[in-house]
Amino acid sequence: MTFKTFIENPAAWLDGSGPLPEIVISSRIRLARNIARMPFTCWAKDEYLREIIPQVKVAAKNSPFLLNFTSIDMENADSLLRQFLVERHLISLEHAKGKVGAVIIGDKELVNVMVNEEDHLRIQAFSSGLQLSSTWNIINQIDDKISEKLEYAFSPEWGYLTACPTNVGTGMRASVMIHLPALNITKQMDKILHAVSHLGLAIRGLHGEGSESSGNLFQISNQVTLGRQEEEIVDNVEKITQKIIHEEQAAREQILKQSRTQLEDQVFRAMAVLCAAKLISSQEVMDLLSAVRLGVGLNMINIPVRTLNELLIAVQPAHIQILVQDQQSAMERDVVRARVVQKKMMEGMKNV
Amino acid sequence: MRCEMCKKNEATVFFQQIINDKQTEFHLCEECAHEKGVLMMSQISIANLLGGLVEPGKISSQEVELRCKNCGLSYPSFCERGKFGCSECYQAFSQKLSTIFRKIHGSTQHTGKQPVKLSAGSPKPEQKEPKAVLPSRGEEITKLRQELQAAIKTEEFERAAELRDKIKAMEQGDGKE
Repeated sequence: MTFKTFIENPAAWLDGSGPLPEIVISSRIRLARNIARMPFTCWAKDEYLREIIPQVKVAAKNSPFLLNFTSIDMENADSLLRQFLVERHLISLEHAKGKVGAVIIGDKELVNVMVNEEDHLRIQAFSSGLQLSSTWNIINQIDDKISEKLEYAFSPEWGYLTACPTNVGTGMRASVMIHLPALNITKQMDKILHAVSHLGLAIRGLHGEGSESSGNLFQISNQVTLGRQEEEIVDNVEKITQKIIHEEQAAREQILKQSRTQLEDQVFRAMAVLCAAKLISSQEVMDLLSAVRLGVGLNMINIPVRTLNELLIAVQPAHIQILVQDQQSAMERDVVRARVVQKKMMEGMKNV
Repeated sequence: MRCEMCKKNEATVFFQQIINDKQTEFHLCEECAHEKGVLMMSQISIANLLGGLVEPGKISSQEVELRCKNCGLSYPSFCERGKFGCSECYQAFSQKLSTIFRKIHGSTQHTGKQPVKLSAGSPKPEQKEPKAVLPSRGEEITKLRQELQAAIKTEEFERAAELRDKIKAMEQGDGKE
């Protein structure tokens, strides 16, 4: 698969078809799995790591949602391709730093497997909006199928054995990517962070561990993986997310009551800049998309959530870089980005 | 007491985290606490704090000897890096893990799904035999009894109950074999 095919076919989980799409962009579950007795990725010799890749591919061929996968070998991936994959959430920041590994990508980017990340396998499934339990049903089937072909490191006492003790047990991280502008504007994020950490959850930036938040987007996920069933974890993250959504909606009401006109002004200005700018940085797009998304949530403005979601990925640095002729010019990147944004916004408005 | 993050400065900030009603305590210096913002604690990866859970200075001479026979990782080295070397390390360090898991997860027992059986004809890796040399069950039970007494002495009743159940289970397991 080439860059072009990727760019022309945005991941299906961005399509805004799930529940509460203007607040919850996506739901994601990942399972950490290792092959029994094989040294974990960070200690294993390259030759062992290379052996794992074809084994995982054979197992993936056995699995639903992965039948016709595309795979990318990390040893052949330059830094631009690695960053491109990170921006699409197909690999993690940690995986992008690895030497011997691969990523196996299922149809429409709904499912993928990172090979030789911190664990030998990191299976991921994505869906649109808030729907963690159906995402669990999908990834559970995939995991079962893969385990028919690969002997996982597992103990009845401790569950799935992972490289880091923070993942042992279910090896599961269930997360949602959520847009919380009102809580952020009203400076309530600290309160939320504090509350969720007491409940065994964490809130992080867009790309998970160690990443910054941008455009009022956050990732909420479980921290505890041992001593709870997968369904319990999923249910817990989903319920707490619903509570946070409730808080966000209350904060939105409060802002509307106090300063409706200023908020409307911000939303429509953001819309105008996205449609008309000739030079634009990715950070500015992220901020403006947040304002427009808030406007959609408050029924001030009508543009498909899908357009806003797809732009979140399409304007990222590596996605723009591959469209640029003059690789050295920072200004040209901003010119190309402005064009990408305009085109998508126009298409979006036609489809309202 | 030294800061559990930088391990250099004196720890002056005390932070508690409660997961599943189990309390975890962190001692940080002002600089480290300020750097992350104590409210942002949830963003510090727990792996970075593992070094704080098991203070290297407190590792006994017996623990220094612990080593995974499959991959060769030693217990002190595990404590320092916070990462296991292979699946067999769990067996090799088994006696130390309950404390660590309880601190991280508030639990020591997996209750989730299990892998399905390998289907016939799949390439099965070499026979599953723990390569680590482990203490015999008798030795282990004696050790657990000592731990139980210690737990009762220090009034860690939850831990004591857990140990009691474990000993019971092991003794029953003995009978079955």
